[in-house]
Amino acid sequence: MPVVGTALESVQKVLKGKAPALAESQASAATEKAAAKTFVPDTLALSARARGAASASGAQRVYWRDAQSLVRKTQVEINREVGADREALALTHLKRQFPQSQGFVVLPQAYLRDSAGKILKDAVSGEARRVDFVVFKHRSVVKSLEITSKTASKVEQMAKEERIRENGGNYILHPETGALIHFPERLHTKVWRLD
Amino acid sequence: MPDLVVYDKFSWHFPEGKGCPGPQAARAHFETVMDWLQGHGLLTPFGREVSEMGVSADFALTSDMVTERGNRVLTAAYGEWLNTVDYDRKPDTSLLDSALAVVG
Repeated sequence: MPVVGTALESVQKVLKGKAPALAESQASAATEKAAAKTFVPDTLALSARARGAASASGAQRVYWRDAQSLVRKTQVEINREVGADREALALTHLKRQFPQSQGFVVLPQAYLRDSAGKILKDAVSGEARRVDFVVFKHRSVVKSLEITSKTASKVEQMAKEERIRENGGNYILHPETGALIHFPERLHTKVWRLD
Repeated sequence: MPDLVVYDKFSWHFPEGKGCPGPQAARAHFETVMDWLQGHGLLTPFGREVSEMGVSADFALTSDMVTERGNRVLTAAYGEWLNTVDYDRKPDTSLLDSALAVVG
């Protein structure tokens, strides 16, 4: 399958340091916000589809191309990329608003935990809650954010979070020191909607 | 403090992404990659803890969940692997196997 060959070349380039690592691409995406990515149908794939050609597994795979780089992508990868860009933007904004030089720490993907440091699960859904971004200073959370698209519903996740917090999930873990950071009861996660 | 790398998140596919038919389709490739990471001993204790909780709407695959070797594989190959994955069929991990062989 041609795409695998291309992928392996890419893997080798990254390993040799000739291509940017994912974290770097996320960061650069954030600073280049203005250029919203557009994806165009891969005309070769579509024409193959029109001819009724099937992949080895018998199913059709539709590719898209990044209009800027012309790299061939599946919808799965496009969705990952768009989501990563959205969060990279939010991270850049938060780091500017809450500078490290003033003692703030911006922590992505923080689980809500109890006072013993254990990840707490919601009694209704059985799921834990991982907040997109938590900003803390010293041992206290000052901001909590959920980043999403313009239209996605966050009602269930926010309700789950409230239930977990009512049951004592009012802490996050400092990733380096292991200290528990308190999430004040009055502070609630806000939803940021970005393109 | 080193920046946490977020390789992928459930919500980026469902409900935020396009073309994803539902939560089960969003869950499929995460379960595949978590099984693959676990099977190759590439999860940290925290990664194993997250894995045991299962893939839910808040699931994210992050750099603190995988070992240094696991991070090298994912940094090199995760995006490329997603370019071999569709929402409507079971993902093939041969690209990840190849990347692991290159990483050593």
